Amino acid sequence: MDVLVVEDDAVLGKALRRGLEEAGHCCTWAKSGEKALSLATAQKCDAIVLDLLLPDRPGLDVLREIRRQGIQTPVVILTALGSIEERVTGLDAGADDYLIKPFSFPELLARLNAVTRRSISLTAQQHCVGPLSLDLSTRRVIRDGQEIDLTPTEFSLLEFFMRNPGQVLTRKMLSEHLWDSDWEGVTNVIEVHITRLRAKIDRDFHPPLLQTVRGRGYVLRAV
Amino acid sequence: MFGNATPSPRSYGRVWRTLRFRLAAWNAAVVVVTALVTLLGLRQGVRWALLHELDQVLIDDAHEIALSVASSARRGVEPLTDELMRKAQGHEHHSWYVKLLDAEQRELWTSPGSQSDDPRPRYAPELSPFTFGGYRIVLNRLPEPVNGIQYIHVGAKLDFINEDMARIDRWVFLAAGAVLLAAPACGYWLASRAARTVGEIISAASRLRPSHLDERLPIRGSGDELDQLAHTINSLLDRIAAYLNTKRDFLANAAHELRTPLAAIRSTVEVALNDDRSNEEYQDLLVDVIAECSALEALVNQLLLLSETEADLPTAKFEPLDLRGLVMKAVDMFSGVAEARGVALQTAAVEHAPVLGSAQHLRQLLNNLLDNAVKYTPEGGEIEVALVADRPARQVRLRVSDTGPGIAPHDQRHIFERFYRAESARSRSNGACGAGLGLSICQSVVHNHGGTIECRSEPNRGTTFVVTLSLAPAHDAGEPMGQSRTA
Repeated sequence: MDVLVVEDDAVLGKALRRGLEEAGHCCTWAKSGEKALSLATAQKCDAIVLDLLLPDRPGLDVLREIRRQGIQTPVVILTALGSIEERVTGLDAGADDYLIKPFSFPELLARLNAVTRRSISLTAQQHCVGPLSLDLSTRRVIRDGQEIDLTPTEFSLLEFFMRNPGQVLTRKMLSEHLWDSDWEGVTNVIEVHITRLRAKIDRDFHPPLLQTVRGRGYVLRAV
Repeated sequence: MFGNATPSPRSYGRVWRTLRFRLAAWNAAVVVVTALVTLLGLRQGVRWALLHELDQVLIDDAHEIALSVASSARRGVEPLTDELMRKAQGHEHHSWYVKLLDAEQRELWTSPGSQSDDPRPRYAPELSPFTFGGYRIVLNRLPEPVNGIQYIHVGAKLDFINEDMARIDRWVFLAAGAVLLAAPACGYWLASRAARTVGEIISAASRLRPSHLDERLPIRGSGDELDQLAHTINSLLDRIAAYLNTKRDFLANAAHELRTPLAAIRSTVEVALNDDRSNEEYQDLLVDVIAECSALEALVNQLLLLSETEADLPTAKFEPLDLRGLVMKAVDMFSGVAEARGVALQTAAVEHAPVLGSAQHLRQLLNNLLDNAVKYTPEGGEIEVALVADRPARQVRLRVSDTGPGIAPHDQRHIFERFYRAESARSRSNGACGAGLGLSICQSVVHNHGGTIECRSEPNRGTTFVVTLSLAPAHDAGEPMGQSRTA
């Protein structure tokens, strides 16, 4: 997809462009609000990553102007201002999602994916990743014809992976999804649940689907 | 910023704005007005008294002469006029005179020194004196004319009263002048005495700087309002200084804590750049960098949370929520890690407990308490979580108890302080201890919600944290809150 990155910080902008390009996306980088406006209106892009503190004009202004011109491109706000009011203001101004600095790159990718295909994935009842399938209506999980019995937590965890196949999910994203909690204590509360899920969906089968990405998180992918 | 009514700081120095000036002016005005009213009143009173006395004399004379006139019917007019003549001479210094008038008020006889050109005064039956041409006059009418005499006219000159009044007036003017001079001066002196202390307070207060809060205002020991003011300001300063000290310590501690992961990141990256390495080596080092970044991020978030909960969040942002749901989720979150460590994480009664609060902050409270319990409970130990809604007392009690090593008594007093780590926690070699902010966050969140948190611990027996919050009124009639109470 084509992503317009609006970010005035040189290091972060560079990292974002590189990361997005390596993830297989096209990336245009605008360092100012004016530049971003002209790029957003001139060319078609699939998503916009928008920093709120820009040198020339507030990011929220840029966002409102984009929406005023009738451009419905999904926008993910990226900012260090993280209070609830600021999030609400951002979403009210027409943003589709909100990510607070510092953020992990996989999370940004996941959110970009989510905002660009939100309407499709929410309605899907059946998810398949390779030999593994999950039915939301019957809450059944089947691999290679065998039904797998999961606890509610494990089911919810697997569902999140199935919705984002091939996507690295960080511990923080997982704990937010499972328990609405962005808790990041030293204790790794996710690991045990991943181990258990892995024991149920991968141990007796081949190849393993749920993999650990060192230092980043976990990914479910069909090899 | 405050509109035009507020004086600018520069105008504070103007003389007419000072308390001293205004007090002096008011004092002078009050004293002068009171003195003038008193003096004038006194002067009028004296004048009235003198006049009244003269009137009495004249009325008495008029009666006496009426009797003499009546007796002249027998004795003849000669002795009468002689008597009146003598009387007039006796009263000469008052310019006293008498006239005898007929029924038409024509003069029949006049004593010397009488007023020559008086008009015919009207007769007043009650002998009321009146003033004419500088004379006080009384006119008496006889019931029957005697020797043609029908009216007796007695008068005296008012000059002597006027002279007395002039003397009094001189004294009044002198006194008024003295008051006019003395009142503002005395007022200014009094006001200065009162304002001097205020001035000391002002000058002491203006010397204070955020970095220099050790000076205190002088207390004179008189116990008056100014002493009270100085005392109030001093205790305010004490509180501010204590608060700033905590903030300073906090900032220093925070910077210190941030330094550690930062140093780790820096040295890891420097090591990575130091030499040509294989991809695997680079990956190893970068994974370490990410781990340190996460630690840094967690610390920054904890600091932000502390400052958020400390800033006395207006309760309007609180939402009604059931603490039970949050407790169950937190228990579920830690169940895996507890089991993996061989610790039994159990729930006793977890009742529905409606509270008003911030879900994000209360989650943090629960997670921190459970994290501590899981961290410090050895294998084979137990953690029990209970949530009791005490409806009569309108309280919710959350209890998290573990069978861990407990907290030493000398540590118990400090566990809620920021960055405090008990010796036992610091010496843990597995690096599982955080920055020492977990329990301060708990306390800050609980206080922010108007509740209390207490710790009961016995070494080698375990630790129990009890959080008490106030129960929100059951707001949703559609869903009975107590339906699945287990207690």
